Amino acid sequence: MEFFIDSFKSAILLALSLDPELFGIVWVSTKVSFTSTLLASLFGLPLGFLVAFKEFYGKWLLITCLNTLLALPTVVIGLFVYTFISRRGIFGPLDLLYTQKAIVIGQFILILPVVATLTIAAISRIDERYKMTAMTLGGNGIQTAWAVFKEARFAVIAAVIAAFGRVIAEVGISMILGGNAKGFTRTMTTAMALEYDKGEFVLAVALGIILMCISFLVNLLFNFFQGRSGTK
Amino acid sequence: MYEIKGLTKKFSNRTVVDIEELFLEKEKIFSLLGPNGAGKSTLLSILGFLSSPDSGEIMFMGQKITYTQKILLPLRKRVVFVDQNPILFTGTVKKNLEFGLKIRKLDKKEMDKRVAHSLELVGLQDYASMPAHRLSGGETKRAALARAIALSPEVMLCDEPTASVDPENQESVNQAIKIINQENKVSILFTTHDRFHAFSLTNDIMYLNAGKISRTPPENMFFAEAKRIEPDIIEPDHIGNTAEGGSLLSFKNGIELIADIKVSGSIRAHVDPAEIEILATNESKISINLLKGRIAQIALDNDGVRLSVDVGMLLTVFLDLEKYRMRHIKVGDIVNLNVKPCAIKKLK
Repeated sequence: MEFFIDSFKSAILLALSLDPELFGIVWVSTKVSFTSTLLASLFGLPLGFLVAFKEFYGKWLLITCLNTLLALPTVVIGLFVYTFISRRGIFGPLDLLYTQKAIVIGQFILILPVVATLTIAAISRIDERYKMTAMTLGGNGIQTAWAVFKEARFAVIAAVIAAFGRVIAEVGISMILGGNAKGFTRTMTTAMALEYDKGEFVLAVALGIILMCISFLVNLLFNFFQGRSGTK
Repeated sequence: MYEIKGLTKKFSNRTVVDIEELFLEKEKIFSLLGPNGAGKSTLLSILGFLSSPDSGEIMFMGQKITYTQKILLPLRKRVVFVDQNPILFTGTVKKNLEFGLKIRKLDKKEMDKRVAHSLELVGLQDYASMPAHRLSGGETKRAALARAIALSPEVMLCDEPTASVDPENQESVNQAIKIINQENKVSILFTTHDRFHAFSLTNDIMYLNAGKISRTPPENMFFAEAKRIEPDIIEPDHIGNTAEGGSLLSFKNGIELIADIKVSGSIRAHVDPAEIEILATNESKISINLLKGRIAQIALDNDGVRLSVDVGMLLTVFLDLEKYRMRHIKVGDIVNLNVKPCAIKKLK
């Protein structure tokens, strides 16, 4: 117990000391997570919206596939992308392996189904009459879709926040595709794994505290938007 | 306005709408009467170009309708459908009214003018800046009507516009419908299951039952000459409000009935089929409002039977199934009818 309390105290002091190495790691983590969330949102929101809004053959099969992808382990995604971007892979010449771009690609694959399925759920919950109303008031396809989207906006924002929360805490993809290179691809989670291996608990705990703080903030935002979507 | 031929719409093998032929003239008010589940809302959504029929042909203002987005989009800017349980978008009432106006790219001055005018028509002039979700059910209906009125469409399709609106505001809804028809020449088709509401707005009434439409005059609508009668000569047993008096109504073939309404002169009266008692010939214990007739037809209705009784004019009587079974009535029987004075109402 004493060991834990000492580590915890030192970690807080380290976090408060604005240590450049620590904040370099936090910066890399936040940057790649933000980029992958942004990209997944750019593709996942329209995908989710279209699936929810349109009726087409095989819709439920697609939704089932997206739901299945939610359970995909990060290590599997890491290995899968690795086969494509490693030196012998089809995209080997692009030299993506062990770069932040590689982590972004892996994280994008991880959270695209998260954004898409949560968007489908958000749009599907919206009463069909919103669509009919926008149509009868003269709205074209885009105007009608936008009217429906606005009604679901809080739940959709919550979907994006949930996706960010997922990637900021993942370790498998960052480790396999990033390689944990100090100053370049070392993220909070990979650094924690490394420090644990070295027996350096202080930095690992400090990073853990920061990660928990970020997760807490993300969840606060998530609950705020979820609440708004339920009470608007 | 609309010319319809052979229109059908099915939902899981159940035919909801089945109209052989229908012609609706423009700039008029039409009422579509029918019980719940008759297909009124489905027909309105087809006429509003929000859903397509399974078969049949619709001509709108001389244009044959084909169900492609290119054709339907401009049509939806000419026809507005107001749902029975309308939805207002998140935002203020004003924002809701501006939705369609922005789509039509109107300038701000014109938008403000139309919003103010429409809200005033439905009695919601003080609600413009109120969040739409704070409105009550009745207010939401009126706001949705105002949203449609603001667009100044050629046709407005209103599904039960006064249902769940409180009585005093029902009148403002009716007035708004009349005003936009008279002043803006908007053609209106509204559904209702209240025949008095229908007749208070229009004489063009259509009847929809099990998807079939007809323009046959409704049952128990008669012209009569009314004469006021003073309270002292009315027998208390027969007139509900003896202090107020009533009227003696003379129908064709010399039929006379006492009603507890205060009217005089030529009127159109409706006799509520559910307020007519059917008696066997040996049960004639009363002397006024007693009509003797022969049962001409018996038709099953939703929860009872409708009897057509020839008393010199054809009078429809509604009996619930239990009473019908007890009486063992059959076509050709001679019966006495007791028309309760409260059964008779004056129509517009």
